[in-house]
Amino acid sequence: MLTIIKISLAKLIHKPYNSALSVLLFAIGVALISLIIKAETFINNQYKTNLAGIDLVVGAKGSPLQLILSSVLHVDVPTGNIALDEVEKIRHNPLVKKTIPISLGDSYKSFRIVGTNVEYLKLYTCSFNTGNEFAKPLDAVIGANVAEKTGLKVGDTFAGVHGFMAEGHTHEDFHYTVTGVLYHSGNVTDNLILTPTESVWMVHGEKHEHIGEHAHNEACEHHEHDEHCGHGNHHNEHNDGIKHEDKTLEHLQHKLMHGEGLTEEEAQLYNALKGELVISKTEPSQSITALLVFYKNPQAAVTLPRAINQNTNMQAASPVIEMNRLISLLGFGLDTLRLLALIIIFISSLNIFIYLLNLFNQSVYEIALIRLAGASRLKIVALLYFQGIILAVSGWVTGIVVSYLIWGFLPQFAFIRNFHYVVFQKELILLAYCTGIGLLAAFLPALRAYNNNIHFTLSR
Amino acid sequence: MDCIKTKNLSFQYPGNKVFDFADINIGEKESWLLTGNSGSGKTTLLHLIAGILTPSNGIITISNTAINTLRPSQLDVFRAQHIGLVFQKSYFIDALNMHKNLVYFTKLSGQKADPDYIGNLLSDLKITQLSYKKPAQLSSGELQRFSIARALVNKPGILLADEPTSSLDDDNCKRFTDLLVSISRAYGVTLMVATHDARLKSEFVNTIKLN
Repeated sequence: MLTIIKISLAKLIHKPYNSALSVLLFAIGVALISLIIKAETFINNQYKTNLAGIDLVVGAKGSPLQLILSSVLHVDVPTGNIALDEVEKIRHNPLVKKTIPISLGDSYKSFRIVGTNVEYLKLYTCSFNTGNEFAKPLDAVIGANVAEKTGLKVGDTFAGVHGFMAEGHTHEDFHYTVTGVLYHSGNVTDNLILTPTESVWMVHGEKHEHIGEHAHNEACEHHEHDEHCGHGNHHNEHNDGIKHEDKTLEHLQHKLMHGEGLTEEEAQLYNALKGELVISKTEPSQSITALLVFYKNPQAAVTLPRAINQNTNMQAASPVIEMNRLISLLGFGLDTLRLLALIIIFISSLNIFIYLLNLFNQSVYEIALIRLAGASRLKIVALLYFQGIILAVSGWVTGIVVSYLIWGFLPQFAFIRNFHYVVFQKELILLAYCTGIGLLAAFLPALRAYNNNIHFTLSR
Repeated sequence: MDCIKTKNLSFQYPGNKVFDFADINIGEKESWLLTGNSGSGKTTLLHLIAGILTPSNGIITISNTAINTLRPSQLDVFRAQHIGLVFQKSYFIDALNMHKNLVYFTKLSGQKADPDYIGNLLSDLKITQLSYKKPAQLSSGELQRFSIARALVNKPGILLADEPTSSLDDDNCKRFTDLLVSISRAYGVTLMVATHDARLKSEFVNTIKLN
């Protein structure tokens, strides 16, 4: 049989242009399908990783998809803000197990600054390459891509830019300090700058600086350690030596950092101790962009979104539903590409069929000769089938290599290592299909070879 | 001892006339000429003896083996190992050089290629230097020599040639026939040449004439 394989290969190599054309045409279809497999796996992988079990996202009224894209995937602009007193009601709902606040608005070198609490780091099981999680306002934990692209490291300071563009109004009076750099995790945190919610409120206070002098003073008082503010020292002196008050303040700050929230009394005490507006159910100016909600039980999925959408001026959007909607929209495009790839593969298999049929017609004497040499009819059939398989498998190999080269040039290439095994499994299934197509294309030429009459061939 | 023996042999093509052949008894290492007009059944008889065609009636015995009784797969191997064939046209696998054509021909018959034997054969036929060329690079005369080499490469007992000289001029015809007869004697094979070429009559003592 080895001799038959060698002859099959030699005959294909003997017609290099025809063979290369068949392989190339087949490879185009395979490469397209392989890229679709990678894209689908990438999207599904990102989808599962980034949704991280979030049951509901509550935000300002608007497009639910926009809310999910902005607050979960961090790729769109937010729909607006929601008031903290409204948020508190949801937080204390008995159907809610846990919530995580999200505050957006600023960025640094196009990387979004997200105000949240340490629960967010736990949600995405972030691990630190260097440094630690944020402990106080204006501390910042940066994702692996942020560190790589900006060059920021632990201890560095930077000022955020208003909005999500690379250029814009810089909040020069508020400098973030990097306290930690995360390992690459393959989810949204790679591209985020995470900071306590209070940081965003402080920087929002800076906005008032442009509106009136009083607001400027208040904003500067918020930031005890900011060297740009000249009023912080008085505040520090006022608190120095009052250890009991410090402990209470630390305790309340700790609760805030971990998203536990404060009671009405605690909020008043916190405000009194710090002399600033950090959290208050009655303070209408305090708001966040969105709240990530985790249900206590499945019943919540039925009642909570409807209750929020009907009874409040907020909207509740299910990430799973919205992402499925998005993927179905993307799916249409992928289906079209898949159809195109299948058409290309069909045409290329026709090309292989015609090529093998011509090869057979040209080799009819050779096949008679091989039969005379002692090869059985089945060996002759195998010769034709091997040619079909060699062409199809060569097309598969070329297509897969091309698809990896194309994929390798995409900026998201780093993610490939997270799911390459799944992709390769699917590509092996594709190989099985390709082999089947090769066999199918060789069927008729093989049948004709099987029925080839040596006597008539050699008597011509 | 008879090398080729037929008895009551007949063959009918579907819907065509029946060929009834006289019994043949050809001894080992003999050289025979099979003559007759076009359509007299020369190629048919040669293909029946080679096992390429299955007779309608009768028995064909090659080296004491009744080839009619062999299964198709057994017949394929038997033919490859016992009978060498030379045709009017020289057919080779055009993707392989001549040496590989010979080696693969042996391997396809289920035998191991014997490099020394192939070397001697090529040397005797004076085509050693051409053995690494591909068929398209050789003349028809050179290809005919390789046809003889391929027919003998499996060390068969019988060499059958079907109209081997019909496309050759007188000089080449004489040269090729001399080579065929001498090499079949040298390698101890029974030779049977089917032809309507009158130029070959003087080269053979034994003749079978078909009507």
